[in-house]
Amino acid sequence: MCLNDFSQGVIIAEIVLYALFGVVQLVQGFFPGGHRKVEASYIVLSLVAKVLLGTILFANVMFT
Amino acid sequence: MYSRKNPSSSSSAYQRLPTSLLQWMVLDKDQHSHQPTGTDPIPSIYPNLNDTSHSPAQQPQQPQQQPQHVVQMGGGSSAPANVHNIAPAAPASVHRDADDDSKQGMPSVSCLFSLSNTKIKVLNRIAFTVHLAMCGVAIYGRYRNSGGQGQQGFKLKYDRVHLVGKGKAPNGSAAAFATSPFVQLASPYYPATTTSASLNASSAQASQSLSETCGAAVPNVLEFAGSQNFTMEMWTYPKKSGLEVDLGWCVAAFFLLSFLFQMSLELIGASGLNESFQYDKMFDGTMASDAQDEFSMKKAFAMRDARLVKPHMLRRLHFNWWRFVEYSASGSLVLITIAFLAGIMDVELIVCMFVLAATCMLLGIVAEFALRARLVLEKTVEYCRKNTEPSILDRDLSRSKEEQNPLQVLEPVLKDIYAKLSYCFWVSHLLGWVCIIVPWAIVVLHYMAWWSPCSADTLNLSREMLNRMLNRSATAADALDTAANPDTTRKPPDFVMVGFFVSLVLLMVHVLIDASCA
Repeated sequence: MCLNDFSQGVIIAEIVLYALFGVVQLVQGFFPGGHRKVEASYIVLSLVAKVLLGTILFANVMFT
Repeated sequence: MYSRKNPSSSSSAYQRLPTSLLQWMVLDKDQHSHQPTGTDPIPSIYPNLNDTSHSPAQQPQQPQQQPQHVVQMGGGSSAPANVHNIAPAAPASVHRDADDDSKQGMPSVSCLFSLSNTKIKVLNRIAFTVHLAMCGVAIYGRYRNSGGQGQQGFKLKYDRVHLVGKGKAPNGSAAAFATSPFVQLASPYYPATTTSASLNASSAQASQSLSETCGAAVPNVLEFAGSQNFTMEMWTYPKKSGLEVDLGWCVAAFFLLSFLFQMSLELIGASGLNESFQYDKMFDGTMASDAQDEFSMKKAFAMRDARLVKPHMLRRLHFNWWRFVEYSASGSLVLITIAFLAGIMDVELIVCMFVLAATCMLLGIVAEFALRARLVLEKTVEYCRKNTEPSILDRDLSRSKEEQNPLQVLEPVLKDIYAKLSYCFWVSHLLGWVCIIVPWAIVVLHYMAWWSPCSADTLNLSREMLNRMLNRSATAADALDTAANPDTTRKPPDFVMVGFFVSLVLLMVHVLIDASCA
């Protein structure tokens, strides 16, 4: 089994999502306030990052 | 929405106070942490401020007004030209509604989604419910793969990496295959490798079949009789490092961690054990200003000591630091799960990557703390500019004109604190980027070196690599050295260790700076 097919997508997607965490804080540094939007962004980003990784692993590794 | 105070409440009460009584009250140390009550000379303007059940959604909606004076302490002199001209009944910010976010500088596109505390709470509950469900699916998948026995689970298995090189050996030359130097050239970011190789020389002039296979530490030397084309094939395997990876447990673990942390946020916030976990405090506490701020600022003005404002700043410095603690555990676990997928099985490297990722997340706490403290400082000064009564000091004709304006006296100090907080934020933020870029760079480079040959039939070897392979003595020597020191092949790359320790040093420097700011 070669993991090349889906692991490439996982790595790229997770890098983008991890970078967005920093981007959210960067925007917060330039534009103070908006605490609710920042909190919602963190919750959604965390959820998407983990569910994406879990779903891809489930689909390609664990349930195949 | 801003809750407006009654213009005739505190300010007028202040004006009625005799100057001597005010000065006695301000200078009294026992009053420093005293909560203003209804009988205090300074009445509580916003008695519901500390009421945790008090949310903006429950507030009667009032017309929103922007503050008349926005303090920009980091952007040069923005002090009002004359604080005496500020109306004493200027509105103060106590509770901010969702619509306030768009007024505070966030992009206007985000105004499409109006968020309230209730929506954030619901979103958090949805998140930890999904995390719990995914954790259950991961555990089910693990046991399903193990045939219901629950003993083996799914473990990563790597296919061999097949590298093919082509070249032309000159007449009378010799090719020596030392697998470890080859791997160091082809995949420098994968030290834990076992390699085998074979050489095929095909030529009409070839007197013998030059097909050999060598092990990991045995150089294979082939003599070329005449100029011959040759192909070289190489397979590499992960070296057994003693690390067994069970992806099922990895996935289940980071989902379970996220569920536990986010649920504990709800429970601790509801129980009242920590005010920072309550959404009302988390989102509105920072933006609030009340009579205690006015009281502490007046005391700071009278004492000419900006440090007296600190307890009141810290009192309203609420932010969700628990989120970053969760990320330091679950986010780092996600990262090393992806590292496993990329083929990294080296224990030391995995530990370094986990620590770096966790450090990045924990630096987020420092950055957020600096941001919130900066915001509290702005709001407190803004509030006091609108509500401080300089007319009381004006009566003291013995004071100079500068002393009559207390904000002018304290403003350089407050600006200095503001600048230090900004510095803390940027240092920790940029340091966090470094700490997260390094492990991701390792994953990407390793992935490119390890998995890319899966889809490549031919690897065009560089001239340097060919020369090295065709140099018998150097290649053989390298191979023998590597074989004599097999442990050196399992150490993480030097730049990882350098980056790790540099990050630690910078973190220590940052902590020292932060401590000096405090």
